[in-house]
Amino acid sequence: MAGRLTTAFWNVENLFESQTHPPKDGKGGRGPQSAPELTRKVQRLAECINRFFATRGPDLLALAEVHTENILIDLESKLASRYGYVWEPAGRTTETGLAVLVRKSLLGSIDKLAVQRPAQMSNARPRCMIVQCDIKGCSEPFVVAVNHWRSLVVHKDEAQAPVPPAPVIDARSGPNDLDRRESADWLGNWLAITCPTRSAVVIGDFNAEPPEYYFGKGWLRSSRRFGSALSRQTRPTYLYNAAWKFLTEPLLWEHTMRSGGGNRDTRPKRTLAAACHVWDQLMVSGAALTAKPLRLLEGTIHYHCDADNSKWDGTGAMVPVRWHYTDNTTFGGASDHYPLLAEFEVA
Amino acid sequence: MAKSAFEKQLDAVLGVVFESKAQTPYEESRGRLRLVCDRIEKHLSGGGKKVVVTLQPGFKANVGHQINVVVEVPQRQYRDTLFRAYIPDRGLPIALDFYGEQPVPVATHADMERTILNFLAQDETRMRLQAYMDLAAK
Repeated sequence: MAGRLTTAFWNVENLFESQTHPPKDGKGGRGPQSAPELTRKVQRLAECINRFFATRGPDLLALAEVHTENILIDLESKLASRYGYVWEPAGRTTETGLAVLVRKSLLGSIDKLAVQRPAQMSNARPRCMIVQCDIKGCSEPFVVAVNHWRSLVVHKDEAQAPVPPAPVIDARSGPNDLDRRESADWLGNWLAITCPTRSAVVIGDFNAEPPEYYFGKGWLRSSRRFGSALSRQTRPTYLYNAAWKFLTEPLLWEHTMRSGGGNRDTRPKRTLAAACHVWDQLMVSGAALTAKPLRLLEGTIHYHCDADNSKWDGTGAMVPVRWHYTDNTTFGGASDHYPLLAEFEVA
Repeated sequence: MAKSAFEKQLDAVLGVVFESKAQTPYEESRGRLRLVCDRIEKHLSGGGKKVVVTLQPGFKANVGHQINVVVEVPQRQYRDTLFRAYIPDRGLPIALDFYGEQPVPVATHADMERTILNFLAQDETRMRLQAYMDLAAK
């Protein structure tokens, strides 16, 4: 093939069949509320995806928050190229699944290797799906792990009425935290045991930011820096996390306000209080930095922003615009997440 | 052989745990959950032991000890987590996690039983239970 593989991940925000989560208790529903709205949203997403990589489109596309395989097929049919795909459904009808699509003209084969759900709970939403891609022109297959970890956002289940007094569930030390630990532990171990020296691309919506401990030693084992550990055969399981570049340095007033002058070293700032979170991340194994069949081209990593899916907010930051719809003439946005794009050199 | 000082101390410490007659609130809640699971196991197995439902401890979270309610079909080497419960040291409220999403708090044991019944009555759950039984019957 022509030397480069374009890849993208997008959490397409509640791409449910219409009326899966209707409005309740005065609050708006989640996802499309009518068939025309669903059609329009799928069309909007497809148009946006077709514009990726200067309208070339992605060769490999990973998706989260797609409700059904029928919606995935509909979306694929609206893309400019034809794609083969693997699909992992949710364990129940009110949740979403994971998908990986590969352009058919490049596709040798694509196989599902493993899926992680919390505690082997078959009716839970999949947190991670690992596939093996055999791409024409690549000297050997590589592994892609698409993730959608447990969110901190609470959606009260319409089928289960909460009974007071409710315990205080702290997302940072409660079940949500355990759930993400489980996902990090599982994926870290899977990569270490099953494909320690192979090219692996780990991508997705982790619902956690790069400095959080799930990505550190003992868990997913990702590293901020491009270091020798990544390419050392004795420690082949480390991942290079390219998302650190999207974190900002501290503002000056933070240094000024800290007593005693504080730490003057530059450091990453968690963005949890900001409008945007760095939750959509790309990580690669050491092999995918330097060796065949994939080599990450780091300068190509970016969030795709255009007039349909983003806007400047009042503080001057560019933010994604959530999908909103009134009728077929009044709608806008695409998703509350940006698509994350990157290119790889292949050999 | 005479027990070492450490072994004697260990017996003393663990004896308190294992031989204590007074049931703690935590144990009472766990026992009520065990009873529910026994009934589910009996229903799924039809009186035999083709399907086994066990309570397996998991992590400790701020809402309580995680208890996985695990359904196994031993002859098929099949294992699935039906749902999870979080029981705090004080016994109540219990948090029930049916779908790997936000746990549902229940204030009393009666509420726990009613909420589990609601879960079991869902079409998706019934289909899943039927699948366990079909697997065990093969």
